[in-house]
Amino acid sequence: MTDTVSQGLTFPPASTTRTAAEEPERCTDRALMQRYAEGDAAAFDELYERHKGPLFRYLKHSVGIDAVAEELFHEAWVRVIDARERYIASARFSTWLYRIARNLVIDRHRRPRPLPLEAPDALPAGNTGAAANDPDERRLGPALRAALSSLPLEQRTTVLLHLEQDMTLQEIADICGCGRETIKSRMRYATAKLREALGDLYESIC
Amino acid sequence: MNPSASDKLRSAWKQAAESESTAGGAGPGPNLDRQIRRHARQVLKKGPPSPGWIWPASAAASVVLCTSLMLQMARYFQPPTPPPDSYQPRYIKPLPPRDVSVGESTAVSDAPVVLDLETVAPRVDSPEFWWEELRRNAANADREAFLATWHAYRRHLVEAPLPEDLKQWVAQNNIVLPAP
Repeated sequence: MTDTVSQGLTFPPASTTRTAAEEPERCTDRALMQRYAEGDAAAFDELYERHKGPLFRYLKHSVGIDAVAEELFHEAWVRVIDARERYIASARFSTWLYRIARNLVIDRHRRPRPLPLEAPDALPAGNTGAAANDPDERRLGPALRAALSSLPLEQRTTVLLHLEQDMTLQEIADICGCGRETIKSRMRYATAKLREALGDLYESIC
Repeated sequence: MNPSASDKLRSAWKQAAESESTAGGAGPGPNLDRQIRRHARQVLKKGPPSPGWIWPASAAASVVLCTSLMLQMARYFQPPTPPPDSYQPRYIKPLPPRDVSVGESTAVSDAPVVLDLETVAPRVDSPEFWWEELRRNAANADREAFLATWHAYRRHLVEAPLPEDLKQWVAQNNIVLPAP
C-alpha cells in the first residue's frame, strides 16, 4: 500500500520513521558512524562515498549555485565529523545528515548577505544516459530539474528529499521539524506546480 | 495517474543525476573531497573535540560564581544590623561657639550682626555707644550692619542725631536712612 499525494508522487508504505534496524540496505550507516567515532577513518570514507552524491545534489538544487552548494556541503560534513561522538542512532543516518543540510540551507537563505550576483548554474541538458530509451523520459530529467528550481524552498526540499532519498512523509517531516500533514500539503502543492511546469511532458509519461 | 508516475519521476530524476555525474557536475570537486576526508582523519588524530576535564571545571566555576553572587545578593537585601552595646559614636570636636558680643568684630562674617542687648543694656541709652558701633560698621564698609545698627539706635534714641562724620559716610555711600 502506498501513500499517494495528490495522485502524484508516491511514498513508501512506512507511516513512521524507519529506524536503522528496519533499513537493511542502510543499516550499516549507523555501524560506520560508530566505527568512525571509535577511530576508524576508513569507515568515514565509506559513509562519505555513499552519501556525497545525493547530498551534493540536494544542496545544489536547493541553493542553485555550485559554489554555495560546495560551501554548504563542506560545512555539513564538518558538522558530521565534529559530532561523531554525539551521534545517536535513533533514526536513519541520512535523516540526521539531511536535517543538518536543510538547516544550513535555511541559514544561507536567511543570511543578510545576498547570494553571488550570478545566474544559477546552468543545468546540463540533453544527455540523460543510455538507460532512457523513451525520448520523453530523456527530456523529463532536465525539465524536472528546471521545474524544481522554480518551487519555493520548503516545497523544493520536500520533493528533493523524496526523489533523492525515497524518504517517507514522516522522515521528511522529521528533517524539516514539522508535522507529517504539513509535508503532505507541501508535496501536494509541489506536485501541482511540477505538473503545470512540465505540461504535456508530465501527462505523456505519468 | 497511476502509481508508476512517481517511479517514472524518480527514474527520470536519477537518470538526470547520472548524466550530471557523467558531466562532472553532480558532486563535489576532487579538492573538496580530499579536504573533507583529510579533515575527518585529522580530527581522529587530535582526539576528542574537547578534553573531559573542561566540563567538570566549568561546572565547578559556575557553582562558585553563582554562590558568590547569591551571598552578595543576600547581604544586599538583609536589614541593617543594630550596633552592639559597646558601640560608641566617633567623637567629633565641636566648633567653638561664635562670640557675638558687641566688642567683637563681625566685619568678615556673613552672618548678620546681632547685638546682645542684655550685655549692652547698661549702655544702649548712650548715643556714643551707638556711634561707636556705627563707626565700626562704616570702617568695615558693611552697609547692612550699618543699617541694622542704625535701626536699633533709632529704637532706643529716637531724637539723637548722627554725628557729622557718620552723616558724611552715609552721604558718600548713597545710603538713604528712613525717617524716624
